Amino acid sequence: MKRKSTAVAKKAATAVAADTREEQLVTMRIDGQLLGIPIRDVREIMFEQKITPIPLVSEEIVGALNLRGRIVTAIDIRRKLQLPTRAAGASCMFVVVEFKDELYSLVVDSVGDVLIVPGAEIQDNPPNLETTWRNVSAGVYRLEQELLIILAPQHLFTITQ
Amino acid sequence: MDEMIGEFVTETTEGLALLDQELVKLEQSPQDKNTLSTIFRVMHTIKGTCGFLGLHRLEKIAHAGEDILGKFRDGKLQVTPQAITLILQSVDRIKEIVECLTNTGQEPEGDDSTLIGTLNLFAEGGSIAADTPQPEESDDFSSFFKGDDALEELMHKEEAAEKERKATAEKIARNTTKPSAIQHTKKAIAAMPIEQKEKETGAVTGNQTIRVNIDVLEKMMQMVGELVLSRNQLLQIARSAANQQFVSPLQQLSHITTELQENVMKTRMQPIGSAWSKFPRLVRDLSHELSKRIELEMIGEETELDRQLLEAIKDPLTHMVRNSCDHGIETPDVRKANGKPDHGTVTLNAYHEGGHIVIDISDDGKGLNVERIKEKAISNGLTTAAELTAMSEKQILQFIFQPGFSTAERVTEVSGRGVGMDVVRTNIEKIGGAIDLSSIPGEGSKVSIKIPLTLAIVSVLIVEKAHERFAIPQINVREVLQVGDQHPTRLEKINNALVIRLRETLLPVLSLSDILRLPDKKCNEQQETSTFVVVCNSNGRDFGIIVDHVHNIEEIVVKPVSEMIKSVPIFSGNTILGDGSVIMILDPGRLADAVGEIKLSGHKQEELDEMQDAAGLSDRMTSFLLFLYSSNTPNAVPLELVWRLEEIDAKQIEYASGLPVVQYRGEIMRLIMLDDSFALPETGTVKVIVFSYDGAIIGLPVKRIVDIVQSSFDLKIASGTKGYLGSTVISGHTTDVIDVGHLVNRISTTGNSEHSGKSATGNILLVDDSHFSVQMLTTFLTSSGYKVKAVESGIEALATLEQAQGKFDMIITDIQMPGMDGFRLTQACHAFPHSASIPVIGCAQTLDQETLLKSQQAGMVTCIPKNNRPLLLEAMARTQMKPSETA
Repeated sequence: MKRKSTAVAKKAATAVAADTREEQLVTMRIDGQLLGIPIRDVREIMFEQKITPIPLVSEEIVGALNLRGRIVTAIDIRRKLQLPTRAAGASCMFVVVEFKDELYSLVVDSVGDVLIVPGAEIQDNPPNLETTWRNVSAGVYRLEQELLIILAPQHLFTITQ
Repeated sequence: MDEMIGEFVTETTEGLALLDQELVKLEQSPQDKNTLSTIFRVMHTIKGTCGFLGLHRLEKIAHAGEDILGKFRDGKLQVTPQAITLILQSVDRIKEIVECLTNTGQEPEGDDSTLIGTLNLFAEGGSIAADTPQPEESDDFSSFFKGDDALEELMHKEEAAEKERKATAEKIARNTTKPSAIQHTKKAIAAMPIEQKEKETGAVTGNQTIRVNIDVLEKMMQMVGELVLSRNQLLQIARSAANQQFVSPLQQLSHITTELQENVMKTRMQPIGSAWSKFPRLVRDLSHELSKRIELEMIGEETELDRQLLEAIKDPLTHMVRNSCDHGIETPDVRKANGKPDHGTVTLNAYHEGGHIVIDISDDGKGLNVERIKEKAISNGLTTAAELTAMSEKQILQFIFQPGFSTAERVTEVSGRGVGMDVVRTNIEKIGGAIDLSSIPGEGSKVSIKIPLTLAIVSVLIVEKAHERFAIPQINVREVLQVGDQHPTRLEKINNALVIRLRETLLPVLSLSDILRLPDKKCNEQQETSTFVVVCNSNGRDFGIIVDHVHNIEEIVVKPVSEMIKSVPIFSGNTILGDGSVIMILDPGRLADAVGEIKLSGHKQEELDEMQDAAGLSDRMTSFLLFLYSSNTPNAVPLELVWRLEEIDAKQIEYASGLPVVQYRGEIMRLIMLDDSFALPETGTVKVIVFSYDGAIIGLPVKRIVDIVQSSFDLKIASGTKGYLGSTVISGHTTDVIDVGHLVNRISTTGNSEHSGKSATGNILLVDDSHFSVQMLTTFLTSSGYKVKAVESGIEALATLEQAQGKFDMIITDIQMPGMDGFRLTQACHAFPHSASIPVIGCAQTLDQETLLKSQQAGMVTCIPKNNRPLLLEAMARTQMKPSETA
């Protein structure tokens, strides 16, 4: 994967030298917001998939899909965060994450680079972060242009309400 | 763990299982030299190996046991039940130690001197006993130790040891990573008595078998499952692909895969006898404990079953055998008094049936006490006496599967602690099985368990509803029906409760889209000319599920649902189909629960047989709801007037100005009697037919709802009695038809604008496909002064309008009609100059926002609920006041 921001990379590289504790994050976008998830949890990134909807489950669960014989539960981050629904026909991507021996797929708008982020520079959630975001965030990382919200799987894959 | 110890544990566990069986056999036939020598040899082997491995506790016990066995063999001691009990005790102790050995790899600390002392004492003292044989009656073995407190001490010691063992086992379970693997191996090996027997008889066949870790087999099974799925996917692609060169190798792959699957399955198969091996001992101990004489008969022990299933049914089977011994079989004197042989028999029978394995547990005891079950069901608040009377015996028996249900008059050691059959059923259903129960008073009872051959692969029926596919386990599917106008079976609707008539029963039917809240295409019921009903059975209840399509039956590998979906109990699992898509598996038990909300379930129609209408339903038929009021003569009411069928708790009935009312859906509903012959019960439930008529909701309490029948609506005799429209012939019987309008008028004097003296005039074209509605409205409108021309379809209406050329002043049309509906008729009317200006009033069975909107769009003047005469008159008056006479 190509680096998007060399500045970030340099920054990350220098940070590596200073602090061995570093976090490799797969970045993705949802409704304009940059999100990251630790690469060690990610199993696969996929394009359009055939999804079987599951009735009666909570709204954020889009359905189930088949990843080489394993059943993956797909979760739409937009629905989870109560964001506006994706425009009809807009493309989306699937980030398959393993959590407690089960596979889940995050349905996101797009997937970006892998960022190496020094662990020391990951900050706690700012106090003014909205509750819906705070509920899924494990911390934030300040990029030059914007904020990167790091997702916490343990909060993503439990049912809201 | 030391490898040697590991080997010893597996071998000894096999040996101990064999000892249990053989000792019981020996007790029954003490002269059997073969059995005795088998027992002796096993005990000897254990003793020998223990000595070699330095397991001194085991060695000492085995030695003491062997001593007695040796004396049996030499004829110095007689084989008595007491002696067998004693040896079984030493076997139990060995088991305990071996179990600890399995977990820790070491012999646990403990003192066996008391047990060994008792054994030795018997070996010594027994020789004297052999000279002066024991009196036969002394069945109670503790009398043998009379005056010897050794036994009591022994009991305490054993308790202590048991506690200690449990504590250690728990500790191990917490600390060790995979104790289960060992346990599995142990259990699996323990379940090979047949093989063992072959070895014992001397036919040593060399290394024909090897021990394989169960985890490896499990993994293999899983992989083969996936392989089968991949193969199916490939086959599906190949079928649609043009390239033919893959076909032949693919076919070969397919064959090999199938064979591989079969063979891997075989490795997991074990004879069911291995799960039964402990039962002879169990039954023996129970019969001593309960002072009964019980024989155990086992048929079909060689029937093979997946080991995972075998594990799963062990406990339920044990429970049921216990139940049979404790509750089923009577004591010898009772049996004799009833003219039965003094020994009872518990029979286990396993056999294959249609891709499943059936295990019957039957006894020739007293059978289940239906009366007690009834009492208990009422006292537990599970049902009411009124409901019970409507239930078949089979349905009543089902109550014993309810949690906390035990009819044992006293709580015994053996059973009757209230945890029981509900757990049994849950466990059986967990593995995709079904359980059935039958009982004949005085002759015995029988429990049948039907389970799939293997857990790994289940056959399911794929159905489709609202373009989504779902799987229903084949084991629960009774039959699939096509219903609709072209088919003998039709869906009939009592407001929201759907039913079909299947042979002699009214079968409640569920729409899958209702249960799963699927986006149902709001298509007209009438347009759905044919649909499918899958008849299922679960929890002893038959019900139908409406689906759009029925696809094939597929063999699938069930996968558990994700944690996030577990909260939705209706899915028992999910899987991947041959085409690679994920499908949810429905839990029929939960579907059956959903049916429970419809109270029409399973009315047997014995009395109705004679009045079942013959075939030959013409399109001039009206649907009637038949019910019994107070007598046994059926009354009828047109189904379209019925709003709902309810069951109301008699306690909820209140009285307002001396008249019975009941709170219903946030409103007060009047209960109306046809005449004085019906008395409202004080307790229990009352069946009530709810009508919505002329804007009022009224309830008619009835004795019983009988059926829905199709009949022509011809009043043979006009009624002289108020409240009745008259009599008609339904299925060859004269039946009184209730006049709902009259009933409503009786309570609402204000709502009766029918004869208010206002004389109206006008020519009305009435369009309604319901023959009954046409008759009702024509009579009503004519009596109000209108001239009515009635037609039964939109097309007919248009033709009439064309002929009449503007003669009509108003059109009243039903909204829901086959072919051209009310909306389209209105639009068509307005398209023709001769009818463009005629106002149209729509009548809808259910008037919601959508219908109102549509009626406005179509150009109707207004739309009103059907069967509401005051509203109709009002609407007509309003319409005529408008300056529409310009035409």
